[in-house]
Amino acid sequence: MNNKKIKVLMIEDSIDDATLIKRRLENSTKSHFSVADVRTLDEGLQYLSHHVPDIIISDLGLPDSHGLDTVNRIVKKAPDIPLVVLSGFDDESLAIKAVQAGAQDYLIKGQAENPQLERSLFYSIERARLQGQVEKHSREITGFQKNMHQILEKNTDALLVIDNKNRILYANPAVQSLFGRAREELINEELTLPLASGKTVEIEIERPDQEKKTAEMSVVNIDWESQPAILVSMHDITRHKKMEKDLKESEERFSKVFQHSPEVILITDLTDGTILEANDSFFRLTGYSRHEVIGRRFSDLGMWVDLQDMENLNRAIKENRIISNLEYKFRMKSGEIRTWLFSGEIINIGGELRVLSVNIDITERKKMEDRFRFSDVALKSIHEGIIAMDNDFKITYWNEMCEQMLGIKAADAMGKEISDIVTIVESYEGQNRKHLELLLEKGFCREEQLYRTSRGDIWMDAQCQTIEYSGKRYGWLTLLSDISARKQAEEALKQSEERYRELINTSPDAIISVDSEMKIIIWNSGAEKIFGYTEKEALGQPFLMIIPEESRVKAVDLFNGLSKSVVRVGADQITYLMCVRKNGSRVPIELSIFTRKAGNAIITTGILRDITLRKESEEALKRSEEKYRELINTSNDTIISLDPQMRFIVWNYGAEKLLGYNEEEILGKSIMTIFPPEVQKDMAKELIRLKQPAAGSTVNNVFETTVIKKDGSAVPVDVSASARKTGEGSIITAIIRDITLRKEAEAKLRQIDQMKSEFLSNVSHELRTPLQSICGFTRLILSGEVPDTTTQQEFLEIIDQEALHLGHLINSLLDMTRLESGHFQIYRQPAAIRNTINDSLKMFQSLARQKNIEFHEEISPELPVMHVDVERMRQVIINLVGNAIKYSEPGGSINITANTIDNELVFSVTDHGAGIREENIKHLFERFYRAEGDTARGGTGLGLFISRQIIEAHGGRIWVESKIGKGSTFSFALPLNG
Amino acid sequence: MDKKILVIEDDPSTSRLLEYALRYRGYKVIAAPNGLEGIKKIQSEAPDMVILDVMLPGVNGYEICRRLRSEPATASTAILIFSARAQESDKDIGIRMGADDYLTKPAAHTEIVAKVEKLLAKKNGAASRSETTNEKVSNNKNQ
Repeated sequence: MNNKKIKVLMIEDSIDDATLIKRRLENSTKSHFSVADVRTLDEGLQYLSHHVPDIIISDLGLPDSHGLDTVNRIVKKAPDIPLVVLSGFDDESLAIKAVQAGAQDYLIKGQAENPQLERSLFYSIERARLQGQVEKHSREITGFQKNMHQILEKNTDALLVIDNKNRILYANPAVQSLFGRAREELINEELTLPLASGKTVEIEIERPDQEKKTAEMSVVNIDWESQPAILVSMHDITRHKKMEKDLKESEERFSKVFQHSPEVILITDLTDGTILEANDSFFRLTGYSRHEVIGRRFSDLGMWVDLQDMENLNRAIKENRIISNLEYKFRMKSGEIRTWLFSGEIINIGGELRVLSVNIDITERKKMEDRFRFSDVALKSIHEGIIAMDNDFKITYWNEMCEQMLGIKAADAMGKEISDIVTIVESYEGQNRKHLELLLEKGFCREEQLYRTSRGDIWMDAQCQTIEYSGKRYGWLTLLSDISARKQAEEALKQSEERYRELINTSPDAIISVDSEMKIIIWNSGAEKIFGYTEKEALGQPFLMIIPEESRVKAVDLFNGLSKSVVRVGADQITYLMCVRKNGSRVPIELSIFTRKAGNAIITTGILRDITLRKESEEALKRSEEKYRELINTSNDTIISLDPQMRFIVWNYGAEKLLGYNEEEILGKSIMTIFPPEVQKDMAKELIRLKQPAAGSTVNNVFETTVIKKDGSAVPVDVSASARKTGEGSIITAIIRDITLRKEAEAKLRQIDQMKSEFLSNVSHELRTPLQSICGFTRLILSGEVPDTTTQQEFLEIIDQEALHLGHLINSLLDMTRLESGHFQIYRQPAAIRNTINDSLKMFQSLARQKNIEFHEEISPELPVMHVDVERMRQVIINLVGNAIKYSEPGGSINITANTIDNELVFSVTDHGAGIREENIKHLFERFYRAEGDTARGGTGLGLFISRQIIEAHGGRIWVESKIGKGSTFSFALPLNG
Repeated sequence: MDKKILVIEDDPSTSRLLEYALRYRGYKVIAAPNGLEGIKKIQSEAPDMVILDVMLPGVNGYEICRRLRSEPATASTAILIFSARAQESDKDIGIRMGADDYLTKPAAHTEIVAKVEKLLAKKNGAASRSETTNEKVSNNKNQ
């Protein structure tokens, strides 16, 4: 610095003072000064507009400015140029204020011409330079924040940093998509969300576009640009919420259909037949209550009338997966036996095979069918009565059967007309006469006649025909069959039909009978309701009117088939078909059909059940089930459900991915399987709390915890759980999310933040310490308080030493900056390494003496010339030896060795200090790392880091061996031909 | 009576500076290079005042402060923290731990002396008003 010309701007209105200082400076032997002097502040400021002096000297009291104002205006104009103010002898306090306002130093007028003037100027310039560098470095340090910013910027969670007044200081890109607003717009706005530290809470965000978002929010305290701030992290869970809602709706719909269906719907376990769920219709019909049935088997309850039925049903469903309309008998709680029609299907619920069945009670229908089914008793008697008559209807033959049937002996009948011996009761007036006329005209007549005899009324099937031979009539022959039994049955049937007409009419099912011509002869109110035709409209109409055209051929075939198989009187079939209503709309029908002979006619009766609702239920059930399953299975999120005993009943693909267990392994296991022992108690509490709410309501809860994977590793997770009350207890469904990345990002962020602020604080401390000595001793000497020249010399040496130390520190910081920015370079040149080592060690002689530390040096005299960066090598050696002294106790010793071993130069420094703990050794060569606790000795934490970079840049390696209580050896090795 | 001041400071240069400047003004000065020795000297020498660095090897300055304040014998000893830790939060901690004042490095010896005088006068006045407080050591006695 002494070789360069120092440009000085002096603002001083007193010509005498100005001349004095100017002369003093221009005659300086220490350096060349060129002084520009002006009289007023204005002139000074103008000068500064065109020139950049190295230093400004200014009087505080000027014609156009006074006091601190002068300082402020100069500092504002030229903030980077050191300023020394001149002040009156009586105004030192103002001068001190000036220094606080930004001046580097002050000089008291009158003392200004003493030898301290130049020193003060040098010192001010140097100090300003150092300060400039420190500030520059501080700016560079803010580069570390870039790391943090990257983490914030790239994070998919919305992250906000807010100050303690909830003002938003920073928002990352993810915030935009969550809030629906530009992040720039949010800065400085107040965040109105409720902040609960340490707990994840669920929040609702209403965006300007009306869209609502749900997010999980957690907050952590951080330092933001050296101020305490809060990091708010928000994870968008809108989609999860919607999914949960859909899931719930789907389940609700399922459960509604399930519960309110008029049909009995059951869910049973495929393997053991345990009843898992049954709807209200089941309980209503069977008379059992829920707790008597759920969890038990039908066979346990004795509900199967025929165990063979049960086996058939089980086998059939296992073989076919789907079966419909299997009829079986079931015993109700009251003991009553009823007939149920079973239709079922195997479904997969939560990984378990279940049977979902719809059961229809067809007991009434069966009964009805039985009533209608006419048991055709054997009417066909081979014993017929035979009566022969002559042309005048006089009886000529009367067989034994006639005697038995009519109670009239042949002898009493012969020669008489029938009407003489029995009364044939006319069903209508003139029946007998008409019968005779018919007979005479056609020669044949067959009629059912009621014979009134002494034994009572007998119904006869009477066939009468002429006996002719070669066109000549010889007489008449009548065959009589007793049909009383049949007639009675018919009568009974008629009565029974009367009795059941009411039943027919009140049945919700349509009961329709048709004659052999397929004309409708019975049309009950159920049919009216289902098809829209009144009885009056329907009677006599063809049955096909309710069959859509495309199905008519099939219907006719069915009908004909049925008619032909009339032998199997009463045999019934169940078919499904689509019918058409009066208004043209379609209606799905379950048809149960049977035929009977009524008198001479064949009557076909159908019971038609509108199964729209059932179809819909089935469809809805299927859709709901499918949707539910798809939602759960395809979700990447981990979705699990627990039964009331806290065992897994749902375990989706996401769960398998996250935790490693597959469905088979985990279903039925306790939830505690996935919690580490230390959280199990808390989790149990949390889950029980979830199950507290009143029936029907649901409770959602979000909490953070840890889960254990199958491989034993732990994963931090967020759990969003909800409980739904069912009859058997609460079912808990939870979505579990892996938050490892978020946790890591948070931890990294905190770590960087902490390291940065520690580093700044350390740098500040390290710079201030030598500065204290430099300033302090300089001022002490300047103040004239050190009259003794030997002491003065001592103090100047300290100043020199500390200034050197300060220089080293700043060099370290600059090295650090270069390393960070990739500009660190070494300049190799041939050097006698032995000299480099000896030169470096010399520097420590006085310090070692001061601390009373002995050096044992074993530097091999045969060290070769090596290609190294001499200054850098010196830096490493100084660092290692300096550390050894720093960590040695007074009176200790340090061994220093340098040898060539295996084509390498190996340099070691051994101290006998406290040693380094194993766990700290691996961090020693990391930047910013410093010993802590009782081994702490201060420092920037850069020395060993930079040393390592230097040695590695030379192709060498650096390491440490240490023993607690014994001391440490730091070594480096450089390849000789490197 | 000369006031006795204990300087606990690990930086030898700074320690030397304080020693010299205070002795120059007639104070009796003793020094300790680390916390442990500092505590020993407080017990054996019973100084009127302690000037404390914060970042010391072993027991740090805050801890010393706390210990002094919790012992009845030293509860009223004047404590001036003289530290290179310059943040407001550092000062707050120092004052909370019981220090009477806090001075940031670098500081001119005049500033240090001014603080020392002020604190001693205050302690003096508080402890015993009857004692002659005029013994301000302004005589130019060397060492």
